[in-house]
Amino acid sequence: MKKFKRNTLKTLLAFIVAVLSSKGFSNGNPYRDRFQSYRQTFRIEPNPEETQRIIKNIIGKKKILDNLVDLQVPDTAEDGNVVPLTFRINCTMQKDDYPKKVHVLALENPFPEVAIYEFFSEKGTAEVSFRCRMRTSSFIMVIAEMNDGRIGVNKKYVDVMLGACS
Amino acid sequence: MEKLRRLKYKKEVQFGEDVKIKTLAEHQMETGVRRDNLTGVIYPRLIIQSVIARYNGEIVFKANWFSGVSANPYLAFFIKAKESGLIEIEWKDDHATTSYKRGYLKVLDEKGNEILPVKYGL
Repeated sequence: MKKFKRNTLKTLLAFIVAVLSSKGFSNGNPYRDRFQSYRQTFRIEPNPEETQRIIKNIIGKKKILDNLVDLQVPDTAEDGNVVPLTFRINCTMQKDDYPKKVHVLALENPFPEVAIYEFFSEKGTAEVSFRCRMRTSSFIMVIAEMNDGRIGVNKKYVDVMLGACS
Repeated sequence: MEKLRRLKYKKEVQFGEDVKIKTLAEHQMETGVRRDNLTGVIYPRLIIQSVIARYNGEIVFKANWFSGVSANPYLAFFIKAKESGLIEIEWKDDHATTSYKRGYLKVLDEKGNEILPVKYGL
């Protein structure tokens, strides 16, 4: 009787832990985000597995749509410290048709997450331009999380002549 | 020492127009990965973490930045003009020190009258 009770408790606990962990890691926050929120003061090498995990955590099991994101980057950048970047989300910005969060990732950086932009409903067009750093020539990826659950992804390769010092 | 903050936009716009707002902050944006050549000491990270744009006190746009953003960060975005009022940009540091830049936006309707944020009933 005692053994049976213990076993049931064990399975229940395992189930709860599994549910919690699956929710905690797939709520759209990238894995390294928590890590980055500290003032990081040590050297770290770029890790392709880590970037794949971040992308997976952002996208999850949602459906990916093409031609939602327009991305403008130069084909070749002379200086890796200053790579100009503009993106535009093709949406009306009415009621539910707006991007909640837009992630910008440089895939070969030690910290691939470059920026997260947040937009609000009926507050202008979703177009942003800024400058980012890149260590080597690699892909730049923009992931748009729409408010109604859709996801748009665009990816472009940038050739960097002189990488940002690291 | 006061660091330079810049805010540029079209001062007088029509109703419903999309206004492009360009901002520039003077900041070193230390990544926390760079090492001193002589001593081998790593410079601690010091970046601007977030930029918040407010239009008449309401949050219109928000940016969260990590170490991948370049030094002296430039940022341009759009807001929709509905009524004339205050545009306020807030830069927040790693030390949670904030700096602000404010400006007035004048919005005109079709007849050329200014649309004020507060309506007075007569």
